[in-house]
Amino acid sequence: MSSSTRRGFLALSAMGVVAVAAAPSALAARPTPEATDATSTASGPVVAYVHDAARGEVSVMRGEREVVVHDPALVRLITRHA
Amino acid sequence: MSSHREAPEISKDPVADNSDVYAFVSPDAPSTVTLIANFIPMQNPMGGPNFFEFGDDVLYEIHVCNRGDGVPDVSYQFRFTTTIRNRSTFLYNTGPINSITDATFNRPQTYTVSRKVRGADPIVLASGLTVPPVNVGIRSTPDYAHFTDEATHSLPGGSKVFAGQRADAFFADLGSIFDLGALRPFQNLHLIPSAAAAGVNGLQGLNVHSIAIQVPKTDLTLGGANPSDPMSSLSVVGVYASASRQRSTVIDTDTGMRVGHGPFTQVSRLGNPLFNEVIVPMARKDYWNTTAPSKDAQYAQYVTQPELAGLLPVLYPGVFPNLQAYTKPRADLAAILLTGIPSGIVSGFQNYTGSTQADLLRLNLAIAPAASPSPYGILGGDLAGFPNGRRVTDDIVAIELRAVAGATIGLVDPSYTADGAAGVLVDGTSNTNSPLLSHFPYLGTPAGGYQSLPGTPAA
Repeated sequence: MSSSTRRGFLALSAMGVVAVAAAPSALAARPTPEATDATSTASGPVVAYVHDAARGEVSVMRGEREVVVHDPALVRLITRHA
Repeated sequence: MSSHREAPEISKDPVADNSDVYAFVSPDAPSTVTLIANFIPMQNPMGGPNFFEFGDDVLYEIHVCNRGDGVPDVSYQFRFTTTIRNRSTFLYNTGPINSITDATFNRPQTYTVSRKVRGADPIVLASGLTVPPVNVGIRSTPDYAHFTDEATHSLPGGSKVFAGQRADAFFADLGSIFDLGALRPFQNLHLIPSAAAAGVNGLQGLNVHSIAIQVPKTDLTLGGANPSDPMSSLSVVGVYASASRQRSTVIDTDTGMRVGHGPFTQVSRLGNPLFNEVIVPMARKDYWNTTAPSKDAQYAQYVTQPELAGLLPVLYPGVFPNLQAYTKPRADLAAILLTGIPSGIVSGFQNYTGSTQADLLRLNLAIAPAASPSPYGILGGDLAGFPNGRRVTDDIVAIELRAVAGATIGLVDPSYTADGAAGVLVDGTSNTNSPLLSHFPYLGTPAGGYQSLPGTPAA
């Protein structure tokens, strides 16, 4: 760390300063498009996840599968009830 | 350390927290390789009730890369299933457990191990494999050591596998190191000095859960080659382990249990010890755990300009003048951690996997096990030790401290003279847990809950 100096380190220690960089929001979980399986009739719970309503996408998860659907109307419907 | 609770998010999820990875040519079966991945770090054996166990909802994997692009070519996958035999009792065991199949073991786990080759679906190697109970105490698990053989299962093709609690073989002075980088044997030279003292193993008395698999070398090499020439690229493989959870978790209020939905996504990984711990900055540690080694070029700046190398001359004034004056990118660390060591640097050795930068534990399979292993691995003149893979006896803290302090710069930059301290740095610890085994799975018998004693608090 080129910016480290003895004086600087002592100053930070004395002030009790802790520097924490902001977590990059762009790194947050983001659905990955996968092949859709519109004919699936498998049973079991389904989770729908809208990460960013403005994108008009909803991630639908069942079992070990995830399908990202671009359906602004569906997203509006979900967010209206949220 | 070495990757115990190394990032904020995974420290909240110990069941998926990968704490150590080992990869070495088996000393007692040199045609095979042993791969070990530890999870659930810092287990206090007296921490009953005893719910230290693998997660049914976690996908555990040990990956091997043999094409140089950092993408897994062979992956061993482990999935666990927990059952409750007697649902009307609170007891972990309803009497002494003399065999891991005893009905008195009220919360047994079994697992499936699969082998996945790049581009193909996983193939189940075995299922219904038993996991031993944790070491509860002299009444509940009276002859714990014999569970090791009982829980070592043969797999098709001459492989064997073990999954269960072990003594943690990693050793480090955690209490001192994380107190502003103090190394007790050298703390008289610290910026905030105190008298030099012996190191204290912060892992003493603690257990982990280990997944160990021993496979023929030819199961891991490109094209099934039998490695015999240390200088051949076909002799080198890269290893890392990971834990994955389903992307969505819902708390089922009918059962009080968490239920996963969606595809598995990586939440923890580990190749070289201490990489995420001391190389990756705080704000990127959680993200690092979710990314693939093949994308590690994005972290190369933290390797070639390591923060710790800048801190050492500050924390130990006057001790590392040459390191302090060295301003070139650390090509030595980039080789050790990201690409492997090319030929021509260490006589008779290389573990170079190509230009793709990936945090992998690189093992040259053509290097025979050492008759007298040095805990300092290659730095100690022992080509069979870290950073040629990693053995359970390697003193990782000392090796990496010395490397970061400049002991390896001269390998790639002959104009550099290492500071005298760089070659002797230690934290003063050694493995003070149960003795290692001379055979698979090598890690020692876990400490028992009844037999162990609490530590010594001080403030």
